Amino acid sequence: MGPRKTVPTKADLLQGTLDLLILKTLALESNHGWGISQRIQQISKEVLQVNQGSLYPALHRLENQGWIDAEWGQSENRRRAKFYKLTPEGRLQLEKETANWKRLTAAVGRVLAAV
Amino acid sequence: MRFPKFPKALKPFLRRKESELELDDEVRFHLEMEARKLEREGLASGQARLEARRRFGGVDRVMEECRDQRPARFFETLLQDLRYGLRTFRRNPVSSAAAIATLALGIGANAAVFSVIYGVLLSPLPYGAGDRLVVVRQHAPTENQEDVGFSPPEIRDVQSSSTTLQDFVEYHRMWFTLLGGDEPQRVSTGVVSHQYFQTLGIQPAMGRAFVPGDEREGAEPVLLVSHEFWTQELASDPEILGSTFEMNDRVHTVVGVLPPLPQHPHANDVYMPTSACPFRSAPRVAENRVARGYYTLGRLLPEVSLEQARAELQGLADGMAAKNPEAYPPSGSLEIELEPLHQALTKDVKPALMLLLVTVGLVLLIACANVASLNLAQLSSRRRELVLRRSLGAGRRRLARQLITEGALLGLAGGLLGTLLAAGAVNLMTAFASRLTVRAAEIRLDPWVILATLLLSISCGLLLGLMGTLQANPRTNLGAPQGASPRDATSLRRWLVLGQLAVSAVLLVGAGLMVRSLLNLRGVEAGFEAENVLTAEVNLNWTRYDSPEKRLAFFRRLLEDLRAEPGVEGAALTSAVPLDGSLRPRPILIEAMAEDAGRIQPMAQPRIVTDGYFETLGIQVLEGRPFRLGDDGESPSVAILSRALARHYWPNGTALGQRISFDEGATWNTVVGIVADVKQRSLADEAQDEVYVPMAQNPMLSGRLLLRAARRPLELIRPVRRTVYGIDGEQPVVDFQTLEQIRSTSTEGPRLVALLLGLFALLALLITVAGLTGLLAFTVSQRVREIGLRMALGATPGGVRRMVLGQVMAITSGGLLLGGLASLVASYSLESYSLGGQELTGQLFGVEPHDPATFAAVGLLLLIAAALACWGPVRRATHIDPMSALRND
Repeated sequence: MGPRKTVPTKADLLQGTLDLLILKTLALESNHGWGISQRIQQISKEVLQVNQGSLYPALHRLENQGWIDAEWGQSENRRRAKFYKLTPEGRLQLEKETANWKRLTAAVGRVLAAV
Repeated sequence: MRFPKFPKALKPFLRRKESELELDDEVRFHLEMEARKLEREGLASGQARLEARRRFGGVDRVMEECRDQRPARFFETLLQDLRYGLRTFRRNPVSSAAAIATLALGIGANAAVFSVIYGVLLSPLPYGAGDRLVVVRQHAPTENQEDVGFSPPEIRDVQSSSTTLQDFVEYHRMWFTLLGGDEPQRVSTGVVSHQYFQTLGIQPAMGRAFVPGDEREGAEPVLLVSHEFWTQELASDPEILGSTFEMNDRVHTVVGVLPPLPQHPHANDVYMPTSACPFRSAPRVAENRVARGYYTLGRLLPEVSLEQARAELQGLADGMAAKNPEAYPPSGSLEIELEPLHQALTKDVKPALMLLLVTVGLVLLIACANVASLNLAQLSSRRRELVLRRSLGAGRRRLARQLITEGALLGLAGGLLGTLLAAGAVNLMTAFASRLTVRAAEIRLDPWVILATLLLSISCGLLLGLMGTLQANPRTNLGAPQGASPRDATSLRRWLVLGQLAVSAVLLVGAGLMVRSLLNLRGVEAGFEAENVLTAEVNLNWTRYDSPEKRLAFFRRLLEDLRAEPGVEGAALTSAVPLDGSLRPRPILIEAMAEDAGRIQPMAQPRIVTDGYFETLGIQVLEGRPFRLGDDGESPSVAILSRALARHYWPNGTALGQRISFDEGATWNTVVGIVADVKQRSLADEAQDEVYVPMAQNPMLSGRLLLRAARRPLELIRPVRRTVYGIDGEQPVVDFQTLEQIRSTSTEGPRLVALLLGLFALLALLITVAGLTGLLAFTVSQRVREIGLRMALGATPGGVRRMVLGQVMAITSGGLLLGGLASLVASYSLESYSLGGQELTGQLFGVEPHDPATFAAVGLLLLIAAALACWGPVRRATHIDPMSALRND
């Protein structure tokens, strides 16, 4: 199921790309859903606005696939939140996906640079 | 996709409430954080909340998507669908009950027929190596004789020389008197090769089977007792082994008791080896290559095919003919035929069962069409509900799955109920099938049958659900009025009814054809007059009537006394009554042809009769004379032939005066008369070669009494008893039947089949009429406004009636046309299609597959049924009050 466009975003994200971003963000540190979306926005300097409607289905899917683990804990403002962290399998998957992405973008770049 | 860790995957499924709360919390947390962030950016708290929600998107939809990510989601939704379906059924109890009941009838009938087919046709024989057993037959096509049987020397040759058969055994049946119990008893005796039961794979329940030594010439006679005889006549004596009985002036020792397995080919009381049978072991039979007539079975070696064995046996037969040309026809050897035992036992009944299967399949189809129609009617009222669910976010696939699940649920419920119905009817089915085949004992509700039935029910249900989805494509238009007539649903229902009518027509034509052939069969000339004839069995006591003279004296006196009774127009005795199927052909010797040695011996069915036999039964004497009182022990031996036998061997010239022998030429009988043919085995068969000899020259120990009554034959029972006891107070006379009863028993098989087909066809018609009525009632109620308007504008009740009837007739004629065409196609394709060698139209007797009378009758019946179906709705339509109709919007 693809992401639903309820609010127009600055950049359309493919599902695979969203997964990649989530995994990377969690590689840096564990976080809850809201935190992940803020982090991605922040690191990408506001370019990437995560479609919040597609974030949570993606998180649940990644959890079922075993690449991230979830745990309930206390958030910064003392509220109960579901924290996600990367699993060893997730780490491997992240490496694989990152390599793929780099290969893809390099290829696109070569095509664009062709004279 | 990597498979999630097991406990994790199950968690959402097992602890659904907890997962739901967690999801709820997670989303709520997000919305709160977003709202707070927006507040910090300057929005008022209320606005912040709204904006947070807006940015999130449809909360419900997102949550639903999260749920969809769960691996066990499919089962969750399935459970939901099931619960929802059950609730829907509860909301429409009448309609659901009707649907389930209809399905139960259709599926139950199918389950019943499955059981019969499984038990009779598919389940393996109850014998050890059932699939390796073959019936071995010899034919003499050049002599125009089939199934001449084997002779003892031939049997020995095959036993010693065959390389493809593991065993080759013989069987024939005799009736002997058993002495040694409380009373002398007539027992049916199977005379068999010593390894007969081993070949069948039957182990004795007590004691031992026969051994080769038992069959040696001059061996001490031994007996194997059947289970039934042991329990019924020997009181299950545990010490029975070693007891002795006297039979045929020799002492027989019981060496074993058989288990309660079905016996083949007949159920006999006792069994003895061939050396113990005085006739079979006499040298003039045992050493006589021409003394054929014995039934034989073979068991194939494990790796051997049927064709290999047949070829080998044919080779042996050719070899025997070459070595002993005097015992074989001049044209060469005999033709060997091998038939698997399973096939031999089932081929007669297979076409009838297949016909039944097709019939119940069609009945189920009609039942499903009714249920589909009911569903479609309901669907239009569920339109709102479906449209609502759609707008709340249910995918089209999800809704379709809901409908399919409901259908499957319906099918399953109908199937379970139907299986219960079938289970209750197993005894009925066994009783029915036992009239058609001996394999009926194997019928039960086998696990395979139950599985097949469940599969059938679920398939029906799924099909019904799918049909619903075809119609349930609601446009998201909530503004549609509640009572809007879904045009497509109604037209689909019309087509359904058309189809039902067509299928009903096919079934009715089939049943009609069977009924007509049955009537034709019963009208067949049997060759004798069966009206008003009473028969009874008289078995004389062995010790009291121990000489032929005494027996003759008794029967003579009996006939004299009975002929003097008022109300008796004729009396006679015979060894076998026509149409009770009890005679088997025996070899005879014809003097004129005795020199043509090596020919196949003529076979004829012999019958011992008294004087007055032909007159009592009304059998025409064509040449010569019937038996007289003068034909007795002092006068020359005589015989009378049936016309078929006379024509067969004396095609030019007369058989009168010719001589024939029953004992290989030891004594000769002169032919003194030729009589008309009489059907012996069944009405559908050709007349057999028959020969009669007078009782006075062949006094028998038991016979069947025949009495022609002036009025009602059953009134003669008392006088007969009285007369018999008057001669001998201890002589029982039993088994009173009229010839007409015996005659109708012979048509029992076709009668049962016709009965069942007729019942199913009528059931189909009933279901169809119910469907038609329902559809019409629905259409009328939908068009109340329109009809009211028409009437207000001047339409007469007659006009309204014509309008409704016109619709009905259109559907009915369409159905008739389709059905008629389908019936023609079906019957013609059946004519050229043979099921395992048996042509299906062999079931039809004397009537063509396109018999116009039957087709016309069926057409009329359907038109009447359709007219009846619309009587109610038409009445309603014509009684519509225009004012109230137009007022109710």
